Amino acid sequence: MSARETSLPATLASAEDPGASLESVLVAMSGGVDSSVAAAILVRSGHPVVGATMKTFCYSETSGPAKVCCGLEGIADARAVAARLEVPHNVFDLEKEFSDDVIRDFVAEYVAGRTPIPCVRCNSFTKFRDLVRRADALGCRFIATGHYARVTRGPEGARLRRAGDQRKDQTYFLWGIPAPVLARLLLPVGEMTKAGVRETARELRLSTADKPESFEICFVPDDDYAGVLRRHLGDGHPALSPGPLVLADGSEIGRHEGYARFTVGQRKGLPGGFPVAMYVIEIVPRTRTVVIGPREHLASSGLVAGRANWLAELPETGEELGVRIRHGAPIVAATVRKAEADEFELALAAPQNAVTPGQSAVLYRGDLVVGGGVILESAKP
Amino acid sequence: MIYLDHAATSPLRPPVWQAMQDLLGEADFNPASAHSAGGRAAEALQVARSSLADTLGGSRTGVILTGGGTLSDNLAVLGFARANSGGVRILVSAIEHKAVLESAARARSEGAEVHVLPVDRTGTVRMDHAKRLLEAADAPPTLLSVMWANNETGTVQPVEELCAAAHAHGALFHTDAVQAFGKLAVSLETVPADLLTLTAHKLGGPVGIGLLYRAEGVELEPLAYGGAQEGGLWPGTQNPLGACGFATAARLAVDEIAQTTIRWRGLREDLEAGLRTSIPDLHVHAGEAPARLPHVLSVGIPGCDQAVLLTALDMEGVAVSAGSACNSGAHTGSHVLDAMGVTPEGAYAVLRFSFAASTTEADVAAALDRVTRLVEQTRIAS
Repeated sequence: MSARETSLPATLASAEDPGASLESVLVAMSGGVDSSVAAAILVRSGHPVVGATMKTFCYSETSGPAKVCCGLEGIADARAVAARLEVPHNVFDLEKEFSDDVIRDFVAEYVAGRTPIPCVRCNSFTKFRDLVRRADALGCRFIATGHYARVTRGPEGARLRRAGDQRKDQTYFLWGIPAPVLARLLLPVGEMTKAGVRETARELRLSTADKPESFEICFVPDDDYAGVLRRHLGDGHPALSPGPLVLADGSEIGRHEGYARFTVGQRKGLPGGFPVAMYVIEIVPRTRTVVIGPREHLASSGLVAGRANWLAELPETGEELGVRIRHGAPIVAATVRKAEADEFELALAAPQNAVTPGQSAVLYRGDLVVGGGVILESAKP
Repeated sequence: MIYLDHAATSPLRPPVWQAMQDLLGEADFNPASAHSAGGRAAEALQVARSSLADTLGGSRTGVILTGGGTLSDNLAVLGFARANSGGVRILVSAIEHKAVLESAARARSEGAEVHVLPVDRTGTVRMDHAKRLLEAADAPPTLLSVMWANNETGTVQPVEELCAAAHAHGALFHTDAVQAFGKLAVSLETVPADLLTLTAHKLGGPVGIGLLYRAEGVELEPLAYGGAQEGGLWPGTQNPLGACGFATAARLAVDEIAQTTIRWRGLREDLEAGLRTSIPDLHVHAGEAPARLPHVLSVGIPGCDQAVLLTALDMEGVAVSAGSACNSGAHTGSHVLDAMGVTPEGAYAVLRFSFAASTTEADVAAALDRVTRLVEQTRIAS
């Protein structure tokens, strides 16, 4: 039985813009179960579908005579799923774009003493901007991914909203999508639960149904991000060279092996011997200083974010919104102090721990994603 | 589907399928078994082996059946290097298949002296370079490995001259004739190569069987151990059905060659002319080569994204490749085009069309029509 004949639960019938039903869709297929099911749902709902796997970097920078990436498991899985769904599939080599927009920024952010989220950059640039260009060339009106988030369409235009499954919601990583792209974006699994996605994959007998989930940053093997920094910066770079470890009053209590190895809020890897647990409070690249202190020093009463992107009407000064400042953290209340095209400032209703420069601040009006930005500074209470 | 990617794999031809089917229950046993079923399998294997030797103009004892072209190339290059413990020289062209290039690289890491011969703009090996390298005095045992014709561009190499030059200087000559066999007159009588590689699935035979022809007296060290099959050089249970399919496909190709080559040349010329008209800035790779495979056309289209164009063609049912199928999936740069000095600025889509006996004029016309339209569409959009 081919995938086209397999019946899907009625709840999975596409709830997208009905006028779009026969337009072709370019689906980003990573080889994982979510994007596999996304493609399957679109095929089922009658869209002409073409699958694409983005090759964003070469996994083997060093070893092996043949480039290992040519045999990447993800590419093979995506191909197999596309074949099962009877849709064409190809690999788009975005290595250069990904390296310029994502990896280079990742390294620069650590050098600047911040803790970046490369997935946000990848979604903003590689996945959407670069994928849309190819969709244009292929005559595809829509692009689709397996993200857990929803796009709704109404008189005010297309809007990004939180996923049906709150625990899987990925809008924290999607705030940087160029606003015009939203109108062309389909997120077929956005209403589903992960369990539902897996069940659908099994029903469709997709080979990726039970594939384990990956939480690593794709280009950082074994979570060794310092290793990636070392390869790009060289061993002697100031960000990876020893510097002072100080308390909030400036007194030096030891040395560290490079400030880029630290993140605000980090507890691991700090010297012991204090009456209370100590955390990284601040990183000062200019002097290579890492400031540590007790938990209460982590609290922030507000933040400034840059590189803002807006997906709905700009909030007004004084407006109360929800904000998420870390993946997996709850959405908390905040008041807008300032909101401009590129930058915004928030006052947090209650102090929050570890407002970390480099992470995202994503603004919500109910389940609507208003926009987001990269945290530049936190305000101490 | 309009399938114009026969240089990647050409699907099993009906007479091949039929010949293999005739052996089901008859000869699909272990040729090494002592019982009569094993005997029938051994006989089928020997019939196939003799037939393959005949079509090549060689002897039955020279045919080493392997698992395919890559494995045969490995056995030729690494087997030669390892059989000569006192050190060897290996000369390979820059446009060899990776099966030869990476075997040579492996041999180098084991102590062999390896030289890579450059090619000219048409992708033809430079004879002067080859001769200069062969002339080295006091050289250890030397193997020159140059393919009969290139898989990505179709450039035919001066193998007769190269083989003669190698022999004149006491060197051995290996040629990978995977793409040339059945398309050109490939015969050991005109090119008495010491080692020659073939594979079945480029001929409409089954995937997973190939051969290395080894002239008498050529020493090779096996790459695998554990059996006396194929003279101990390719141990493991032999494959009578595969061998039968291989021999049948090879025989068919050779029997039909007079008609097919003329027809292919016509199709290729029509396609090339059509593409030149519709895409004025088209590059024909190896267009000026002294000799080209009749069934392969490789072109470059500036300003077109390769993966996008291939996808668009696939969406319309046209199967072609970007060059070597081994590179597809990742679309890394082609070492063959690099060696020919094809260094485009910006986007550049490489398309390789390749034909088989089943390819029709209508296939080529439809492919031409769709490529023309989709190049225009993808260019406008990007």
